[in-house]
Amino acid sequence: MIVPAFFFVLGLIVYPAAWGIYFAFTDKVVGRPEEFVGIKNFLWVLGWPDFGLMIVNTLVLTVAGVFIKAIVGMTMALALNEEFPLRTIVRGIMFLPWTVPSFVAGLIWKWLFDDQNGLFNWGLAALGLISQPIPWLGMAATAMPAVIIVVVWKGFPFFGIAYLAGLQAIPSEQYEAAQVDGANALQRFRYITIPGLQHVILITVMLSTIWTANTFDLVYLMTGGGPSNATEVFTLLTFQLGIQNGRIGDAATIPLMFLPFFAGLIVILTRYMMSREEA
Amino acid sequence: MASAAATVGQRAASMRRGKVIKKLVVYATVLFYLFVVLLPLYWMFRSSISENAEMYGVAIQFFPSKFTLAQFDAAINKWKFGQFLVNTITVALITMIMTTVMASLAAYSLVRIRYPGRGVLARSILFVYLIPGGLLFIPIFILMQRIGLLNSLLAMIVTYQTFAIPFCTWMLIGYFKGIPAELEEAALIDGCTRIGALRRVMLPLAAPGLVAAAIFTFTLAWNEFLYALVLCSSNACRTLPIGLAGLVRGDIYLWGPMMAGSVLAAIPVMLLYILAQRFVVAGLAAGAVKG
Repeated sequence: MIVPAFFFVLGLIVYPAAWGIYFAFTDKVVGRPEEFVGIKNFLWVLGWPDFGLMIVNTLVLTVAGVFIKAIVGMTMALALNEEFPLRTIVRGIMFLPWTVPSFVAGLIWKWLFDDQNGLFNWGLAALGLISQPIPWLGMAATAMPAVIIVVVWKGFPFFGIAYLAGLQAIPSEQYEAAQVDGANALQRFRYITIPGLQHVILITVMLSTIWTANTFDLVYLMTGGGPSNATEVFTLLTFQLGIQNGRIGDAATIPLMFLPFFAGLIVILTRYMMSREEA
Repeated sequence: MASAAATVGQRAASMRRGKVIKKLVVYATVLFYLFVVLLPLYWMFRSSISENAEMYGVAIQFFPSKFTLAQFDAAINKWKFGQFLVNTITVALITMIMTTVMASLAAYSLVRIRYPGRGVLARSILFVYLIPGGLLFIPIFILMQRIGLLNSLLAMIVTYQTFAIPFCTWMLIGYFKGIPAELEEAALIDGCTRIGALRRVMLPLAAPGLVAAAIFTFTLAWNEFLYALVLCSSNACRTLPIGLAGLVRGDIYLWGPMMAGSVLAAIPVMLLYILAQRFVVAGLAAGAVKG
């Protein structure tokens, strides 16, 4: 009964994965048979002047994106854990960005950031903060922060909802006991909330690291990797080399170089989730 | 005595003050987040129903003064979003049905039937679910090219299915485990086949899990961008995300039709999530974010 599923996974994940590794060592281009070339592709890709920049961009996007999402998600969960009117509706509204397709999020924010007619420049000008429209996505200094803002906007509800569920599982007696013992709010957060949420935090951060490092559509739509490669990330470079330029061999080396990072994370996360499952 | 009473009074007062401050902080946080969440969404809707004159140049208006369906008309008729929408629906529905069937079979087998390698299989399912798509699209592109599926909806259906099956199986395993084995043992003794027991006993009881799996798969297929872009370059197989991205190409952006298209793309999945939030949250709890 598991055979159909097994067949698909084998045919479309395991087999292509092996093939991808093989391509990295050949001079494969679209529409021509390949020949083995050793590590020539790796040297060529590593020799690309902005390769280092691409690695840094991918790292910055991932680390900053995940970190800010976790912080914002935590504050959202803490706020939603308090009593206030219309709480259920507010919770539903805050979940909305997570339900918006990410390509739609990318387009909306590209429109908000637009230099000539975007809402941001309009608002800032109306408040008298700027006199000239700012091309947010067209400047190296602001393009990456702009992309990170969208990554956070789209992704923080996932953290928020997970942390909220975790918060509600912490028995309120613990807080009351701590209060009686004279612990202040910060101490209660540090010694009750954080340990209580430890597992949820670990899982959400690891899952989100994998997803965020794999960002493609937001960057492709908002900046296309520009300006002057300031937002070039690994998925985009692989796409440009392999699909747009047909240099399959060169493109195949990039995922392979990122494989150890992802494989390490996935192995740790799988072990962790399985052990929690059995416990 | 007097000083002790004063301290107690002070403490009570400071606690009251603390509560007020806490309340203010909570309200400020909630209002700020609501604003940040809703502003972009409002701007999408507002741009999809406004006339061009109110969207560009000095005359930008935060609240539209006139309502128009011209942007939707342009999106659907001029930019062929109707065709893209039909493609997206086709891909999402078929992927959803195929995945739910195969994942139920796989999960049932992993939970109820004993055979060697079962534990390894269960573990590798989770492992495969976590592999990001960005690592595999180059070889999958070449594979689809070789077997002649490039530029067909089938290429997307088959690929999405493969990415959705592991997560759905993993999630359904959680649901199936919660159903007592005695129930279907009774059915098996009464002469039911394995498939019959799955269909008549397990599936009805695991209905919330099936709904969650189906919604997860539908939205995955509906929202997917990278593979749709890689596997399809002709107009006939283009899905909504790729059709929309096509409008970004030129020097002049067509924000009106683009936002109308975005509304068309976002509304179905947002509605689905809102209507089925209960199942989805329960599904996430059973599967991904157990904690």
